[in-house]
Amino acid sequence: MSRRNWRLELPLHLMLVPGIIVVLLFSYGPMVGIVIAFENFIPVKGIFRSEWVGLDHFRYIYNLSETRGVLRNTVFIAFMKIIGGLFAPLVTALLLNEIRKKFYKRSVQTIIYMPHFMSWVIMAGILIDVLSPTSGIVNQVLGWLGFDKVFFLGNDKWFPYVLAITDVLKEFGFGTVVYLAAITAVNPSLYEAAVLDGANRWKQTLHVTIPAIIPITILLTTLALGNVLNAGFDQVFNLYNPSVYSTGDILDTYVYRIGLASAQYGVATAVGLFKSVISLVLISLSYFLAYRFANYRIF
Amino acid sequence: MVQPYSWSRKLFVVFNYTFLALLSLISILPLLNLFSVSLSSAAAIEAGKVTLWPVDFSWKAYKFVAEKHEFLVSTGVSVQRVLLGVSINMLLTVLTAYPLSKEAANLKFRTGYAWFFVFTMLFSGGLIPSYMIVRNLHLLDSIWALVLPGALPIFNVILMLNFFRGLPKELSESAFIDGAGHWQTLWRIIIPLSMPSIATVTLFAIVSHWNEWFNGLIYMDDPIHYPLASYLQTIIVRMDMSTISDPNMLLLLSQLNDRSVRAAQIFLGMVPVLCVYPFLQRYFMSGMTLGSVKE
Amino acid sequence: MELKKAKAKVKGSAMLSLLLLMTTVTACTNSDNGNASTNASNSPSATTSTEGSPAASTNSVPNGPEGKYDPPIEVTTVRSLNQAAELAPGDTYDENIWTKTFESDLGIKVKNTWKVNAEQYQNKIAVTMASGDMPDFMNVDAQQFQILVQAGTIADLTDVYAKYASDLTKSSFEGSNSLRLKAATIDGKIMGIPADGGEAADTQLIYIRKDWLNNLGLQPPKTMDDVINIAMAFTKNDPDKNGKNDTYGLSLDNNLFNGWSGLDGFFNGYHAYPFNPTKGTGTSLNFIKGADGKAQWADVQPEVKTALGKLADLFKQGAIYPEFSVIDGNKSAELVTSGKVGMTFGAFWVPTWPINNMYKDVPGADWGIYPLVSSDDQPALSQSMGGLPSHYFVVSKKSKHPEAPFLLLNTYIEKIYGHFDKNYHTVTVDGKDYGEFGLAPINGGLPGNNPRAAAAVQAAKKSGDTSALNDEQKNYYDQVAKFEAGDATMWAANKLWAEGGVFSLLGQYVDNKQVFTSTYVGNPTPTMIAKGPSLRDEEVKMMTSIIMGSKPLDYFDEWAANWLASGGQSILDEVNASGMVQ
Repeated sequence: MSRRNWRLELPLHLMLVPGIIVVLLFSYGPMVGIVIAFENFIPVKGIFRSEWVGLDHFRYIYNLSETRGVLRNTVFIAFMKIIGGLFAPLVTALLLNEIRKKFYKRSVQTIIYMPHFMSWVIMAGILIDVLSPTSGIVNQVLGWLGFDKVFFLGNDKWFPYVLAITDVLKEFGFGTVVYLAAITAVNPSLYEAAVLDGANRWKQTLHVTIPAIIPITILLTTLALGNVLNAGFDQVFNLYNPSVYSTGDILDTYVYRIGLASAQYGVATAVGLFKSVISLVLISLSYFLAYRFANYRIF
Repeated sequence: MVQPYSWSRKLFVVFNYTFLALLSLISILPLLNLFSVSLSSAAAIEAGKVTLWPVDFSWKAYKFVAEKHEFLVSTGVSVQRVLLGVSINMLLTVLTAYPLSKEAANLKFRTGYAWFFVFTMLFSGGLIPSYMIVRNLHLLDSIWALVLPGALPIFNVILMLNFFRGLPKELSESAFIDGAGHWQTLWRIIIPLSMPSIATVTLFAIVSHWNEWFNGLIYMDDPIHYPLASYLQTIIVRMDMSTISDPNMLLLLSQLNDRSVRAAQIFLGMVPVLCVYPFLQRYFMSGMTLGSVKE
Repeated sequence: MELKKAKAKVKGSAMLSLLLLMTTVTACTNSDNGNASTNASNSPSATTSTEGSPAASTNSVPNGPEGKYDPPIEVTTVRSLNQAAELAPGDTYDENIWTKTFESDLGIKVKNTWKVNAEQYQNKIAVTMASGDMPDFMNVDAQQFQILVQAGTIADLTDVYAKYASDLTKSSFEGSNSLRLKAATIDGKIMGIPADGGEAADTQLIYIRKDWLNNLGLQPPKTMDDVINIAMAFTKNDPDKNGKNDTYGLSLDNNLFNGWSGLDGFFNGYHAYPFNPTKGTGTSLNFIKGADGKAQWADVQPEVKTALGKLADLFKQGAIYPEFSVIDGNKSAELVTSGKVGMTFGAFWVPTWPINNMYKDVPGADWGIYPLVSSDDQPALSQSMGGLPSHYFVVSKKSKHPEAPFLLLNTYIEKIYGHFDKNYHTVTVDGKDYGEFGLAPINGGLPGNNPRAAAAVQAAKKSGDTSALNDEQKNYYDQVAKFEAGDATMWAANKLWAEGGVFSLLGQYVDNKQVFTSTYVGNPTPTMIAKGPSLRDEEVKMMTSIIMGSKPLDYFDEWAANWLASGGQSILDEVNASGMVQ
């Protein structure tokens, strides 16, 4: 690299310095703690003096009879949430974009963004009432429509879908924020050009808006893939019960229940490490796929 | 250029308005329930009478909260945290995102840098070592413990750098030809043009600082230093009272069983962050006009 | 206060609890007009401290249960708190009547290194210990206690106990067959100070809506068949006379075993003693002694199946809330407080939560409390975890004054049990009561205190002579009197202390030897820890599905065989080889 280039680039490197320091200190520093996954960690003994047990924790989890089912549930539920969490905000943002009345648009935007701020503890309390077969409004509506009553939270066939739907309903409004920002950033001259070409609103959406927000969509999907083993502890924990363990139990809730017997930092860290590695693989994969086929660097 | 709307377009518009109204209705019901509980009497709540309207209406809970020392103090901590934390977040986010938005050809090690940051999003050392770092830096029990460990939200950096890349390249190129350096370009061209995305990322930063509660509980040695979210967490956790058989604990909790007071605090805790969004929406619009001016 | 899963802890707290209850409604009305002359100035410590240090200005150190440090020393501890607990104006966890007394009487300054709410206490303890910042003494749960003993970081208290514990403190350790002392003794050394335990306070009672019984002309139950008949009548005969078929006979939620809405007492009526709550650890199990003298697991016995059959029938007949499997204790409590359910099994504290306000708020509502009944001519035994402590105070090996916690405890026990001093228990500011005893950095209990107090209160009621009551008991006496004079807020107090109240019944269980405790008294075995949680899940699923009728009753046998095959046998082997079977 020539000296001139270096001089030109230097400010860019300098700009990165503060971020690098923060990350080194507060993210890379604590990563020594990953060794806890290979230890019989006892807090009083500390990280460096606890007994080394190698892969025991991984073996322990692998050998538990429920682990496979739990992993399957986790991936299935997380996958539904990722899909729902991708399309629901995207469609909502596009629909909102078609609203001409500014006040209406802003009100809807603000209102649908609210449930994000309700904690699952509170939402669960409400959902148990709303979904109740004896008195819940949802089952009443189903009854009017001539359907049988459904025990949504007590039936293991329905439970994973209930998780996915309620999660999407709670989060979609918050998810639209990014898409709306992306739509806003579209160059208005593109629309003007499209109109001159005789494109109606639908064609404009199809040929201008959607292509413009594809990169952000790919980006968010990729990042969401990193969560394929995070199916939402808070939500599941507050909604599930023994009748739906078979389909609703996810990695995090399972580890929590197992760990009740003994504060197992080692096991919890091992599971965390496993999840991290899977996330890394998935994110890397989609990163390189996006680069190879769309020539788009996600980050 | 007003086009006459076709009938299908009209149908769509009607559908669109109705559909979004329905979504809004679903979204606001939980909040309405919470609000009604906060305005109802304890007896009515215990008897299961409160759904969407207050029963035995009273402002009692809000009067109580207005005098509740912990609530007010922790609100103050939260405001301080958001002001400090979001400023640092935004500064670092922009500073980090701008270089990373350059092509690999224009910034040596760009890809390496990017992965260096992204890696921290995926792997974490967990609670204990993080605590020890904060402790060894003598940040325990201070506002900095809430601000510094999360000073650089990587997710926001990635969003931001993608927004930056979406800006027309000719702009910064022409700035360079005019003799501006990177600092000037970033400050004079990139940031003003990125107001919608900056508003978005700011919103995320505010929301995450406002909602984050765990660090507050772990890093603070005295509840008087809790931010609001941590304080609310201590009252919100709907402990399964029936699994507690210590009468001591139980009675302390059943005192709090005045659910209207709890609901009032949770509701009030949400109000500021709910108001932020409508406020920031202005910048979404201004971004549009800025964009159109330049062509 | 930091107990998450305490099994037995009674103390004088029941009284505080009531005081707290009474004050909930008027909480917002008090302002600081009275300027609270309460505790700070006139605390009794002022008098004792003068005699404590006559002219001894020279260095002094206590040489036994009494005495004072001069110059004062500082000991550190950590606190778990509840944000819900309102403190009296001017009080904090750092400075209150207790800390002031400790400082003036004992020359011990107690410093809280940190304070955190109860839910994060474990995490905070873990990070504190990992950073090597262990305080002089702290409260830990039974499991951490074991770990700390093994790690060798806590002090052996055998000698300081002998030398510094007062007689009263010693009696609190050694009452009830030294249950607490034994639990705290590991390999012949006293390693901790039990914070609770020592009595069977977790035995269950039957709570029934008395007004519903009256509405239907029913008598209180004498047998389990009566219980079932009442449950059925409450379901089908419109006990609340609202003309709607909207009531249930027996309260139940997805935790299955519990001090509220639990089935423990129901099973006990059939001489079955299973225990494995959905939200439990899966490692505290009940064992019975078989004919061969070996321990057997209580949950797989045929009596359990019999009782499950009855429950399945009750469910089928609509006497149990059809969605019990998805609701937790808070929701089942709502069903009861909203007048949908008329009977529950539960522990002594049920009158203080959740049914505490019903008498006051729901016209006509009242609850009767009855001892467990049996399905045959054998008396029912109520199961108890046996009063093993769930929490201990431990002292750091590095502490310079390992005796200090005992001196603090002596004072605590003296003020609460020895010569009850109300200022240390509750203060009233502007007509509002605040608990003080919860502010003490250390606590303990005197086994059997509450049944004794209940008996004394009732004796005084009969004779009209209150002279034999101590201050604590007089307090309870006054509460009962207030209730009888029409103060509905004293309903729960009345249920605790009056004749036929919970503490009388609990006392009767003990006197009549109607308490069942597990024959295995050791710690969880390795297999229990490794397999316990998954075995617990299986059991909970089995019980839930049999009760709900989604599996036939005979599935019980299949499950029992499965249990044995998938770890149960090794648990039994470990238990029988442990030498801890009594």
